[in-house]
Amino acid sequence: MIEGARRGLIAAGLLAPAALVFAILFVWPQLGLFLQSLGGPPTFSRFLGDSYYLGVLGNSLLLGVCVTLVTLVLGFPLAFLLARAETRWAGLLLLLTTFPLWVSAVVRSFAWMVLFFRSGVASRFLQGTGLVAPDFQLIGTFAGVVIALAQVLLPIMIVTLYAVIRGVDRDLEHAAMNLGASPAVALWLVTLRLARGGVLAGSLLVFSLSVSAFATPSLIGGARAHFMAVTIYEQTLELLDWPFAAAIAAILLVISLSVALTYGKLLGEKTR
Amino acid sequence: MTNSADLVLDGLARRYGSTTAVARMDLTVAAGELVALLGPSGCGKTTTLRMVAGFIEPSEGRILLRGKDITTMPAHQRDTGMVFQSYALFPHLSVAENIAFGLKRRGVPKPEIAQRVARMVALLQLQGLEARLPKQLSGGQQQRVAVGRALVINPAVVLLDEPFSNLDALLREGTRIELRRLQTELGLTTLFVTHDQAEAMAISDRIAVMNKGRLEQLGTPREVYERPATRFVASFIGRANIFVSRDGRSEDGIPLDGPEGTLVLRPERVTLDEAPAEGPNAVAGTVDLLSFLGTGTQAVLRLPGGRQLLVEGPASLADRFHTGGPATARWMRDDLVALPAE
Repeated sequence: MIEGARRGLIAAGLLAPAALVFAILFVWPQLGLFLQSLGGPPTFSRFLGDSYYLGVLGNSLLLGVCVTLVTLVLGFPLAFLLARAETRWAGLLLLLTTFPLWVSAVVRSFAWMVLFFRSGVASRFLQGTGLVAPDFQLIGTFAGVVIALAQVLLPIMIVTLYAVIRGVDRDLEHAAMNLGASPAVALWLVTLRLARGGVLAGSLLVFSLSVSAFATPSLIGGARAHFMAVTIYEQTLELLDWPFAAAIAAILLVISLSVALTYGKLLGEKTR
Repeated sequence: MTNSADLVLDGLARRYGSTTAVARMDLTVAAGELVALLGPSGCGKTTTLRMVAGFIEPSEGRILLRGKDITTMPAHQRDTGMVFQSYALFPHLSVAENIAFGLKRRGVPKPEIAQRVARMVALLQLQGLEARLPKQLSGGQQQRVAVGRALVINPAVVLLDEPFSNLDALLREGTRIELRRLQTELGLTTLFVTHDQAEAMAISDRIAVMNKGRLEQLGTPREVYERPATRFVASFIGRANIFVSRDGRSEDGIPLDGPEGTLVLRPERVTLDEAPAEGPNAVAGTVDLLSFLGTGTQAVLRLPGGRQLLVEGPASLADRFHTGGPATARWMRDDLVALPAE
């Protein structure tokens, strides 16, 4: 009994610093923010009753889903290749993939702007395919924001997946192939099932960073960037409606948390 | 049909840059035969096995399985069943699902899968564990699931990669006898990788001794032990005293009555007594070490030239001699086995 109590005390001691920081720097301000949203005229009903704001929320969630999907589809093959490469260059290559993270969001977005304006390479290319209007430009479009965000968040997805795939014993894939599974089937039935924790973690990181992103959506999306973080910024600094800004922040937090939890649950069930 | 070759390695080689992992290996495994690839780590035995399984591409040579050239065939189309050293059981699948994995990939109808899995479960005494996950099994049970998963698909050749190395000593012996029984009963053509010479001797029809990527000798356990083809084989299979005999003397001056050239003298062929050493095939020395092994006693005799002569005799040796005391070693002419000239 005494032994158990001591262990509990040690565990509490180890947890205390992080818990304290978390409480002071996250829970308390969030609570303050929430209380602030309650001051003045009703804020939550205003947001939830206005189709414009609901549209902004939908836009942000869609952005999160799109960026997550793009980074997952582009990131998995690369992470798999790096994890399975039998060369000492793999570590260096992994480091190279993280380069976008080292560049300031502002600089990176300016670079994308150059490519995305009407006469930019990327917009020109799309015009050339004939799929879009001749005066089309990627700047200010939803697709443009997805591309720019996916670029910067891709390394996060790759690094997360890489670590998890490295942890999957290669002989499990060999065993699957030995038993008659083609490499693709082995990847699907074995590696992907066992790497689902990494898929989940990577997706959650990318999703939460996408829905709360500010710099890239506002620079690339421009005046038509109807995303949550941008709206919070407008309400706070331009319209000075702090209670409403606080309410939007609270709604963003609750919605993205519940999306994350649902996704985690779905992924956990589907693969069992 | 017992003499038909099931698996043929024809000049099989694998190089990594300038290093040779396996050098032009020729090996034929007959139907129903168990051949061990035996050698120290890094000798190329696992590389050879993985080339047969299709995980490593040969640099040269061919692999024939039941007469069909499978050298360039992808792993999943080859008809091999492999038991991995780590077992490589799918951690997210139950025992039954692990065993059924290969049958599902082959499109076997569901009722037949259930039937064959059940038969394998019974054969390997895994009843009642079907729904467990691998991590809920003991090491021995995991090993049996790995064997069952490989055998249930009736592969043309069974590949075993150190299948006993993760079991404790007691379990290892029982398991290898059990596997040998299964292999003989089902007539499984088997290629078996091991670094343990006792294990290879115990259950193999023939042993392929490998060293530094080369096949040093291929023969029955007795042939390999009694007629080693090289100095390496002589000292890797069992223990050996090796002399180079010229004009009736070894390189360190011991008078020898036997063939000329490199000679192997097995420790159990040497007897110890207290009489003075006279004539050939006898040498006096000092007892350096006596270790009682239960079934007998192992002695190390230090000779004047500095050589340590290995001796194995009855348990009573430990009573008749003592460490630091004198002893004379003797052996017969026939005990000196000449290695083929290298």
